[in-house]
Amino acid sequence: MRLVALMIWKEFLHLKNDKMSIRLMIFPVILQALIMGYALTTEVKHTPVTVCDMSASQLSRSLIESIRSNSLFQFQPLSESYAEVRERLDRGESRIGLVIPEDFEHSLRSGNGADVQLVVDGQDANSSNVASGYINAIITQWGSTYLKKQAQLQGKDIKLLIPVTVNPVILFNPLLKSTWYMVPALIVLLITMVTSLLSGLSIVKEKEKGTLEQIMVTPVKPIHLIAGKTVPYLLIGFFELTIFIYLGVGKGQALKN
Amino acid sequence: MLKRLYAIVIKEFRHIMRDWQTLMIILLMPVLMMFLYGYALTMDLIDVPVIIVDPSMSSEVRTIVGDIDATSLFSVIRTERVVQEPAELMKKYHAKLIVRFPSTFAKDLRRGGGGADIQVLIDGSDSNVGTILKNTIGPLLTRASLDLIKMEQPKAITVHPKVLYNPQQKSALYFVPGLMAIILLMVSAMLTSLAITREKEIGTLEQLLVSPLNPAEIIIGKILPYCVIAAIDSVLIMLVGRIFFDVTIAGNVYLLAATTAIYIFTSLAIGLLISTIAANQQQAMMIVLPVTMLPTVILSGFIFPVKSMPVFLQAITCFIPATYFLEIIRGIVLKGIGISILLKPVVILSAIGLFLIFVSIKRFRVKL
Repeated sequence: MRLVALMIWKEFLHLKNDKMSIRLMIFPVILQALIMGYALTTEVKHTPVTVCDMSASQLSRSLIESIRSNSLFQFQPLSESYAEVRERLDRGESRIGLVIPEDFEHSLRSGNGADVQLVVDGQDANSSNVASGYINAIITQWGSTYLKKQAQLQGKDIKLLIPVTVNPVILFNPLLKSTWYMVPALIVLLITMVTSLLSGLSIVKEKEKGTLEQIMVTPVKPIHLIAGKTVPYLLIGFFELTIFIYLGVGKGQALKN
Repeated sequence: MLKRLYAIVIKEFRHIMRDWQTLMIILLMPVLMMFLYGYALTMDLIDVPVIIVDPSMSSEVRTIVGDIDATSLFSVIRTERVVQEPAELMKKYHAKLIVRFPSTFAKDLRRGGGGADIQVLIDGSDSNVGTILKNTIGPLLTRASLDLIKMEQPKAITVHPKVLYNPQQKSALYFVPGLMAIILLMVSAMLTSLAITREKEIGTLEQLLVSPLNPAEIIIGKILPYCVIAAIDSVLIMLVGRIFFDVTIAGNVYLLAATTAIYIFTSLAIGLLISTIAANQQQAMMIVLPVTMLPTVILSGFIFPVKSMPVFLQAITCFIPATYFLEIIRGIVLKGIGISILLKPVVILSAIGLFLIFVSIKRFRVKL
């Protein structure tokens, strides 16, 4: 036991003299955690949208306004024609194009329901799915608000129209923030990288300098050596874990507010 | 001049051939990576486990449950009568979704006038999965319930989606061109920097410098073999993509080849620059990984959309060559667009490449 303690002590002495290593194991890792924590977001935000409004009516403008006011989308200038929508998508200026047909207001007012076309840049299946899901939800929401208003005007109860309501509740990550999902995964990744690298390097260093052979001829057994080489890095790993959790939880709290 | 260049190219090829294990890794790694990414990176959702809570055990609910189970997205794993702690239930059975029907559901639904409320509890830990589940289950339940009482759903607007560029929504079409950017950078930047620092390490670079060869000949001669390897790799990637993942090139193949050549050139310039900074192979590796590979994988838009990043990180992405190459290669392979639209990224990519090669030749000469 005393031998193990001595080996651990020796390893800490090595570390104390090697300021570069200490810096390397703390600062870049925290920097990486922060950059990755911000960059590794699979959330779909700021999707550029262009609208081609052939109807140019009061209702179509109201629909466009409900999309424009949503912060999930970056509203691009209106397009004149379908060809222009297509060109903007080709150029990559927009990822989604919404085409409102000429008879939009007419069909809505007649009660038959209107049609709109959604042109989606589907290169990345995942993000295009999510983005078109969002815009679909906005349009549906606008449509049901419109229906409710119409029903109220006619003196009907909207509840009669749709007898079912679905109430979704999101558990564990109520704001659906991808950071909450990514940060724990990131901690696993970085801790694995740092601790395996450092403990591996410290043994290789002894080999390189030839001091490993010197240790072999002392009463220190391999088990003592391994314990002495791993325990310090275990402690460093715990220390980094604490920092990561602190950063992660701090960020989580900031996001909650 | 050409004869001397030829000699140094042959010398470099001999180095490569002698180290045939590394050569095999270089040639097989792209294929391996493609299979790994191709099968592991799919984010398609299939058979999400669902738990149903139905106190009444009515036939109406059973029909709706059948509708949920019939979709490829959901798979009903249990039906419970009473539940105290939904979150505990979700953890216990690893379910992602709990659908809770009220005990009077069938009666409320038939009576009309509202009140048939279905509660859906969604595991939101993976935000994208949560969003997709939330957007899918609501309309599915509403339609299934309305079908039961033979009621048309009043709908104001019907959205007709049209998916461009990747109509079948296959993730392979997106990642194969992306992988090309990563692998080419890895092969070109890493191998050239290692090849030059190796000569430094064993001291043969000085011997080369005192020979009749001029620095340009040494550099070009050392780079050319890796150009060839990178070109072989890119053809290999497109072939594997074509055969195993059905990736077809929508645009002009020659334009793709030309722009890929520009990208390889830029990556080689990065490798060259690193080799002028690093003193030995270990240092070269230590620089290559954090300075080129990591930012390229994380920040170029290879996996994570650039548009979703904070503004200061978006600014960094402007300095990563792969960002432009990804725009170009995805434009050609998926969108099938031509040079008129891609002119801007092509010019920027070439400018970065020229700048880097200029700096590294300058630094290389200073060392003499």
